[in-house]
Amino acid sequence: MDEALKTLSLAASGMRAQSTRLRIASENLANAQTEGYRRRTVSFAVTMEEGAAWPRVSGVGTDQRPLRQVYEPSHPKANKQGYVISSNVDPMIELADIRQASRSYEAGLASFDQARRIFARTLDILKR
Amino acid sequence: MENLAILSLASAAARHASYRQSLAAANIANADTPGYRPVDLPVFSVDRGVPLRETRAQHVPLGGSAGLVPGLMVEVLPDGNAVTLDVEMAKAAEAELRHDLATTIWQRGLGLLRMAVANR
Repeated sequence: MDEALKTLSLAASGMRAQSTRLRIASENLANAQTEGYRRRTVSFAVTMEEGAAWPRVSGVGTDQRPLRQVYEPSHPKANKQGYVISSNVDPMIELADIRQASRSYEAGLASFDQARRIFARTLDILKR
Repeated sequence: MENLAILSLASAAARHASYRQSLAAANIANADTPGYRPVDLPVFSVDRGVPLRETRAQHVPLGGSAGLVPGLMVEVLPDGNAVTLDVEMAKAAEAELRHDLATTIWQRGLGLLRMAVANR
């Protein structure tokens, strides 16, 4: 009984971590064309508590890779050589990240639902 | 008192299944945590039952995770994570079915007891 309730919050904490990751990846994607924007990264870690491994977001960092330079002489912010400093976001990476995050989120949702069913099933014994 | 033995066996099996599903859920929740290795429970057996574990901070430490065994690792990613989602989903589904089985047996056992009492 207790186990099923714990599973619910375990699955929920995994889903929370994944949705943070999803949000950050969408932020990156939305700022792919923003001048001087540095891509943000999410890192996960685990906390041992109550005999279980609880996932959480351990920090949000910035990607230190060099910013992209785009040749666009007509742009108001172009330098003398005609280059504009863009972001260091690679849309392909962000899309893959979003895919992975939503896949893991769905798996978490499935195990949440399963724990709920197990709980309901145990409760059924009391009902009759 | 045969029936009571069935009841306690069924409830131990249900607890085992529920714990195993919880472990699978923990593995799934940590599917992207760097360095995480999946954990599992040994197969349920009548004499082994449910392993001891710490559930409160005040409990005497059992020396790590008592009774747990490493889960099946298909591949280890470059970040050290070894969880395979489909393996864990299959494990969780199996645990749910086993829990269903155990609770059904529990109910039937109780039904037999009731029948015996009603005919007195």
